[in-house]
Amino acid sequence: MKTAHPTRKPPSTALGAPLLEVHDLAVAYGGIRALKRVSLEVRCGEIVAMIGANGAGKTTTLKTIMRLLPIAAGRISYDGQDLAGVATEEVVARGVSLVPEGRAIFVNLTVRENLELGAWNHKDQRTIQETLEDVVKLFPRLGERMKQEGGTLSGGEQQMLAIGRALMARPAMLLLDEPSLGIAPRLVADIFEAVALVAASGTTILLVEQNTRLALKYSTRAYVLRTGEIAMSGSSKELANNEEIRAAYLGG
Amino acid sequence: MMEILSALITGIAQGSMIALIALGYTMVYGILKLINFAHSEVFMMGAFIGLFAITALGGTQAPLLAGVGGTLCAMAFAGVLGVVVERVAYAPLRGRGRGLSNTRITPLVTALGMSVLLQNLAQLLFTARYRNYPQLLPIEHTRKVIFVTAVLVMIGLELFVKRTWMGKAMRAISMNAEAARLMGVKTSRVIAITFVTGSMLAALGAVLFCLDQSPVYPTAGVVIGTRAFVAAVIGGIGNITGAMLGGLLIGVIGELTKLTPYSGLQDVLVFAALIAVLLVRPTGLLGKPGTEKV
Amino acid sequence: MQMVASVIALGALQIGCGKKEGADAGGANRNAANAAEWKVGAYLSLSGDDTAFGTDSKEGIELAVDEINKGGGPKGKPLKVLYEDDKSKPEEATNKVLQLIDRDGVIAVIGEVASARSRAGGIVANKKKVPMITPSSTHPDVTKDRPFVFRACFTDDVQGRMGARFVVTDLGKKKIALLFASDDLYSSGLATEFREEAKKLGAEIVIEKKFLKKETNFTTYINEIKAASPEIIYAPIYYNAMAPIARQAKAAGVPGSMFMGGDGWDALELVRDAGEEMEGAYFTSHFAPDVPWQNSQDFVAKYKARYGGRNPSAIAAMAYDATRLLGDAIGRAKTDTPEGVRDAIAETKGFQGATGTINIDAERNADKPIVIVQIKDKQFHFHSAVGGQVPPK
Repeated sequence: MKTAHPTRKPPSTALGAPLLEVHDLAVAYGGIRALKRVSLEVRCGEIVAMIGANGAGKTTTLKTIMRLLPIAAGRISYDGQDLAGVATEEVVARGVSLVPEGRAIFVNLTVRENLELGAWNHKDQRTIQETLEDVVKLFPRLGERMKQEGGTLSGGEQQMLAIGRALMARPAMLLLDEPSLGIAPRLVADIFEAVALVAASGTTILLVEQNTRLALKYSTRAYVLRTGEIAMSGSSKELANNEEIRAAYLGG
Repeated sequence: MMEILSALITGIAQGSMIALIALGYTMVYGILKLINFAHSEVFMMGAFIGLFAITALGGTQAPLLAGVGGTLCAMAFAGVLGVVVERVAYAPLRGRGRGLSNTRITPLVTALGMSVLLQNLAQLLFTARYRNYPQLLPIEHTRKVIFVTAVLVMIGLELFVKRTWMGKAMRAISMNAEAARLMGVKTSRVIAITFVTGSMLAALGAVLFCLDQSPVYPTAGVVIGTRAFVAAVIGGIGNITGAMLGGLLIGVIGELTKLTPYSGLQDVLVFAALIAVLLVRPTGLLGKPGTEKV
Repeated sequence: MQMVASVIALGALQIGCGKKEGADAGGANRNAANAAEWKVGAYLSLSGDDTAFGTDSKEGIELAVDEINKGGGPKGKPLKVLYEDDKSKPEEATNKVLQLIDRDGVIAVIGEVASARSRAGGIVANKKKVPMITPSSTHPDVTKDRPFVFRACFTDDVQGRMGARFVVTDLGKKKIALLFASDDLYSSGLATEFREEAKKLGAEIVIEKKFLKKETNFTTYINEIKAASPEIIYAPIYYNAMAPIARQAKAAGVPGSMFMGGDGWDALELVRDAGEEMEGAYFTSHFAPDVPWQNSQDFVAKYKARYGGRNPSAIAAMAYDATRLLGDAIGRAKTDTPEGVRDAIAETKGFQGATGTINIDAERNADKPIVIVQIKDKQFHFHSAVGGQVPPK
């Protein structure tokens, strides 16, 4: 895994400096104000978790960063550049990939085709092949199922495929939306270990996860989102020991 | 017996032409979940341009040049028209009213409006007169050309969709447009290419259709457009092979009906076939329930 | 038919509502004996699908009006025609006729070509007791039970019967195939009359094929008809369907001379697009530019002189006749009222028109000769005339 995940275009941001910055972000969603005021930053090389109850605005935050939802107010910048007016495709081209909630794999395409589509912005066959090999090293199960249609995979395998597909773009920053949702507990650990490996190879990660225990275990810092606002933030260790967090999210 | 055989042959030629037009409906539906009612008008406009180009290129004096050149002109024009329709009428509606219940109805109504608009535009520009194509080839040869062209187009399109990046992107968008964007696929470009392809095939079908059997006039697209749409639905809308199958089925049923005393009920039988297929297989002959889920 | 019925009901309703006001306004404007001119309304398809019909009719009417007014007009007053465009729509025909009568106070109305619009207009004219004369609507229903509605042409049933007589008696063909559009009243009406008359005359209908009027692929029909080996194929359909049929028939080895049609073929497009394939075919019609009768030739000469050397269409000839017939009736009318003009039209006998000698019968239809036209060298040629009173050469 030594070459695992070299980014195509390394960000100019130095290790430890803010790679993604979100300032006072507000988002309206079908007439409802889904985000009121969210500010957060992810530094280069970090794994940052975003936790919170259902409907707190976690997915909305990720989708807005990917520019799938319009910004009502506030500012998002990546690698020092404003993302206002940038199309989703361009955000991906700049090095940010999202593994969407519910996996959203292409069910009638084969595993290989799914992965190849992930590398849409790379036209060099060799780069694609190398990345593909890295993804298979990370998730050997996918290697065995290359010719199967995506829809025939189990939930856990689909999640691996979704992550693998996002990695095919060789992102500098990976956004994960609920990777443990609806997956057999046995596979959840595998997936989080793989994510840790990806992070170790230099990819910055913003993780949204309902399983607070897991999120805090694998992240360095975390934000707590509550009804569209950041309620708390700090290092994951601190938060894991916080009384309020324990009561509200960790079941005592 | 001879009549049945010849009806079958005629039906296959007729069906492959219907299939060419059905492809446009099926491709656009596959990607946008939009029934592009203006498709039959792109067909009609293509037929007009084809006629003008064929005449300008010498018509029966130079049948090969006029035929090939005229077809290419019609296809180029229709391709542009298809994209213009998409950019003017459909693109501005995408992404608006997200989460509202009318997101599917609005483009549908716009499509109907576009169809009426183009019909009226054609009437204004070209008048309501019926115009026949010059006969570049004897009809029996035209029908062979139709069949061969349709088969080649189907094979080509199947390869395009299955093997090329663009084809894979089209399939990806049809399954999950948002996920495709997250891969970096420029969906608006893929949509434009889909409209270009479908419209060009419609124009190809239009020129062949008019060379073979029909005069062109502003509402010339309506009947064949309806049949093509039915063919696309019978085959499983969104499915390219299904469109071919549906087209052949409609063509053959139509011709066999003509042998019965109920030839006046041809449309009734065509729609009865549609209903029968949908009752047994709600997603059409080759449609997969999975493709509809987004 | 259900649709038609409801349109009629609506039309009647409109008249009922507008009546009081309309009658007052009409009274003020109505052509009185002391007015300076005879106001006549014409509603035509000057735009929309049948623009060609409307403009041809208008040309015929204008030519006739010039001629009538040259001699000072009926009873020494000129005829003035007010034109209205019904946009090729029956509902517009209803409105336009209502306007012409109520707003403009016309003494009579001329129009339309398409039977559906003439029927719509005729309902209004009849209700308002203003005479209407259609130059070229051949559907029987247009004049039926409407004492104020006349026509200057024969009806479809006469045409179908005369076509059968020509085929069986004059051409001596005994084995006949029928090919017609089942969802088109004109086509199926002619086919029905033809079938009955042909059988009466001892001919056999060997095969009968129906198609939908928007059909374009006729190969299967033609093959089947060919297999039944008829001597002639009666195809009473519009020219726009006939061109593809002729082409596909030729490809299947059925020559144009095997076809016989009705006045729906009477459009120059047919010979332009399928003239070769139609060589030798016959059809029943109202007129041909080379009809040998004196009145007809005079009309053709005048028309050519006025409209840049073009040959007149049958539509133009019939509009010309209808207008002149109306002018004649206004001149003969005992009272200068719509009722007086109506009675005068009804009494028309031996009127010498461009399309033959016209007698108005008790059903208010024109009793006149039917012209058999043959396609030769990509042109329409007068072949013979059947029925009616054939005018002097």
